[in-house]
Amino acid sequence: MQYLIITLLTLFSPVKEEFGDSVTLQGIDIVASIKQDDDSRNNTRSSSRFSRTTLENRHITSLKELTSLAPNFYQPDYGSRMTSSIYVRGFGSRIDQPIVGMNIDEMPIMNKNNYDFELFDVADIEIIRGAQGTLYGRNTAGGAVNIQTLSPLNFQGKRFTAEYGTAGSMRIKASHYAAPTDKFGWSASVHYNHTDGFFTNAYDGSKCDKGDNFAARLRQVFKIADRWSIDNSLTAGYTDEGGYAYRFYDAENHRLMPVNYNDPCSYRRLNIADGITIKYSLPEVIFSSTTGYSYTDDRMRMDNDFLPEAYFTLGQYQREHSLTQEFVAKSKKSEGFGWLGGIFAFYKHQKLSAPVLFKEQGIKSLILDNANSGLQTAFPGSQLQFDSDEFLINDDFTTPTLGASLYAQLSYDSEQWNVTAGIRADGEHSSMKYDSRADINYRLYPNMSTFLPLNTRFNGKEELNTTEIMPKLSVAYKHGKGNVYASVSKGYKAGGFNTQLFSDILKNRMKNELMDKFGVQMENNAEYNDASATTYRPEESLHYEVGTHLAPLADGSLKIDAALFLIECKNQQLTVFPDGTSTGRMMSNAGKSRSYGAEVSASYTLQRLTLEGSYGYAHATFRSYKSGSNDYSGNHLPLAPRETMSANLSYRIPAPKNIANHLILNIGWNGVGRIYWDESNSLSQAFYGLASASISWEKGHYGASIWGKNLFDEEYKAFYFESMQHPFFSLGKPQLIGITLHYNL
Amino acid sequence: MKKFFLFPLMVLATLIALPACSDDDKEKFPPETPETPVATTYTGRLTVNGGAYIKEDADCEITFAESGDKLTLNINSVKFAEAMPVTINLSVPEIPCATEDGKTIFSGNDIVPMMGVAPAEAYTFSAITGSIENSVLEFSATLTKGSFSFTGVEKQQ
Repeated sequence: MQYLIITLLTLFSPVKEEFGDSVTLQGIDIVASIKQDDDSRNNTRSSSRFSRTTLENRHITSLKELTSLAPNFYQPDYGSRMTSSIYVRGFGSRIDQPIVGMNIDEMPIMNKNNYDFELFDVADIEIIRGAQGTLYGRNTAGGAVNIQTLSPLNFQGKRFTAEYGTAGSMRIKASHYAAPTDKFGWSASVHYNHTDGFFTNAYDGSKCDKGDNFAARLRQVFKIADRWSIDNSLTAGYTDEGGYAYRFYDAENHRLMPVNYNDPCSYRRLNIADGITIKYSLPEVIFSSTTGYSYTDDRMRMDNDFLPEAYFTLGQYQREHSLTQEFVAKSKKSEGFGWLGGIFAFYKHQKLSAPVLFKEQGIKSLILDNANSGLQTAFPGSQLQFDSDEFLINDDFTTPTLGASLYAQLSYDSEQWNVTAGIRADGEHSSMKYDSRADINYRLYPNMSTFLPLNTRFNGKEELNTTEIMPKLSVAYKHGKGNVYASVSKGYKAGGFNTQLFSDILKNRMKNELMDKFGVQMENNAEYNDASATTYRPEESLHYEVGTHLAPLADGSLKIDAALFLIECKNQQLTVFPDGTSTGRMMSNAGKSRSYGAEVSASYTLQRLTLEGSYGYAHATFRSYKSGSNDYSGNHLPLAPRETMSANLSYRIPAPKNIANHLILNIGWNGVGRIYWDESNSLSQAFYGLASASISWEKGHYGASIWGKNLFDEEYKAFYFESMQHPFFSLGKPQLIGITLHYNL
Repeated sequence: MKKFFLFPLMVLATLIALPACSDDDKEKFPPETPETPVATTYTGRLTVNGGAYIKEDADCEITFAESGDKLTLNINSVKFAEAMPVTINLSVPEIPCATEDGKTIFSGNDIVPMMGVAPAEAYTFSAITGSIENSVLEFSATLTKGSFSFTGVEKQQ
């Protein structure tokens, strides 16, 4: 009993020198984005920030692992690194345009395929929830993620890290940060990780999700004459992995079958990006110019039926160049009137090929069986035949997009009040040249003795011009313990072209041309075989929010952030079937949705102990969504969780100085659910939680940590979709345990 | 001197010979292309199966064979019942015909029509009779799957 009392008293006693109190990475200045206030506790937005210490101590290596740590933020882990769907407050986007923008060191990431990357040497991540259209423009209807990497002027040293974990997972990192003078710093870092994979493909016994990932970053920062700063960051990343561990769901017997498909699935990506930010600071004003260039070359291959039979495969090969330029001017004010203004422009040029290969079983069951049952009436006893077991539908697209924006924001700040108003105008022009084609040889046997060619062609050009105006207004009342605010803001998800529908259109055209060869025409079919069916206009959201940032205790040890929100979405981008039909998908802007809910985050630090928690609730439903003969109005929006929850305990264990400079225990838990998998809400994933823990030790130049994720090996579904009317699920990653060693100089 | 006149005579002979050759050749240039039979379209009322399906603006085409003693009748976009989700094109080939005093009469039995590129035995015309006079086409037919009757006028191009 005496020992227990002494131990308990020790836990909460003031830190003494002999126990060692050095924590690495303290005192690193995080420079806030020029568009945001430095004072994150007196702003009028809901945001969550994660420091490098938090990311490293909790062993967070990708943005997906911040799911639910930021309330109402959900980025599921399934598929491959190409799959970067983000859901915030019930809204999200599975394909094409995202609803959350991402900026790395002020440079916007223009391609959603690049959203999933390895986090290394990250100084700070801020996840902002709520429409950010005024300051960030397109594709920020749900929010923005701002990532800042370590600056060599703020951090110097060498770091080597080696890690090994279950499933043969391995990481190696090396970085060097130097500041030869206080005006110049440079850094170089490289990173490699490998996994043997978690999921076995029963077809051949191989792991379907093994992969390798390599990344490098070079950064140079110059400060010139105390007014100028130039910051250049060059990154390159290469990914080569499997993925798509999709399992057929036997709905009749409620059984989830093993992963079992015959054609390979893979994703390979090369990304090179450079961003240069030049700042000029005067006593009253700061000017900034950020120029960004990014090149992405990725190739995805997929067994699109995910079955052991040879139905069809899909490829998606993309090359994209993007260029961005932004000028920002901002007043340096602490009280009174302040202003911010900016000009932004971008150009993207994308070439995309999306071949679909129909194989023997697919040709038979998806084409010939249907065709032959229809042809029996006119040609009893005859069979339509192709002269090959495979045929290819080729789809090629060239999509240039050009956009420009003007924005401005005024604010008034007094001791007790802050009022901010802003407005942005975005204009965008995009076009898509498409070229779809398929060649087969057919005959009606025995009526025809020879095969005849059927060459289907579908090419042309579509254009889209859009303009969007995005206002915002916020009012905050500051009191001694924090603030209370109310805001309204608008955001939008950009319009574009759904290239995934082109294989549908070409198949319809092939079918119609083939039927025409036999003198048969379908009635009421022609209008949805047009490329205009793939075009969609911007989706717009209006966000209303009231919230508070509180620090109720005098020592600031307790921080509470809370918000209530209402989101009205109109012109929602949906894939629908034409009225009364179940074929011929097309894009539509006919949807309306609404989400309302609440969020709260809190952190409490008591000497060595830090407790953090968050909770998010979003009730997101369709107000209007009709597809074919189905009406989904009133149903929950699919794929986004209704609730998110997280809790984390971090404790700095007292240890003698000759044993450790620091010893930190982290125990965490995060959960999401209920998630509805489709618009009909017929299937869902109940709320589930994942536990994690780590213990980190550091002494002098050396450090080590043992960590575990999904400690209780919880089995949960991460994703659902249908192919050929077959349901498929992807399970989340199982338990993962590892050890990390690092050496710092 | 003899040699002097020989050269221009040779040139003159060549000049005379070449047009003569080219006159013959002119008949061969441009290369002969066979004439495509001209189809005449008639628009009118098509009655199927005694009224199960009636199309007021149906198009039928008549194409005469080069010999003039046979014609092909194309019946376009026809249904056998109102609820049928597709329309079909039938081409009835080589119906015997005769023309006298500006009136063409055609008649045939047991003719298998073409549907596109393939013969459709299921729609065999067991009997068809018709006439074309004063730009008016009329015919009636009995098929294994029903019956047609049509009256229409020549469509102005």
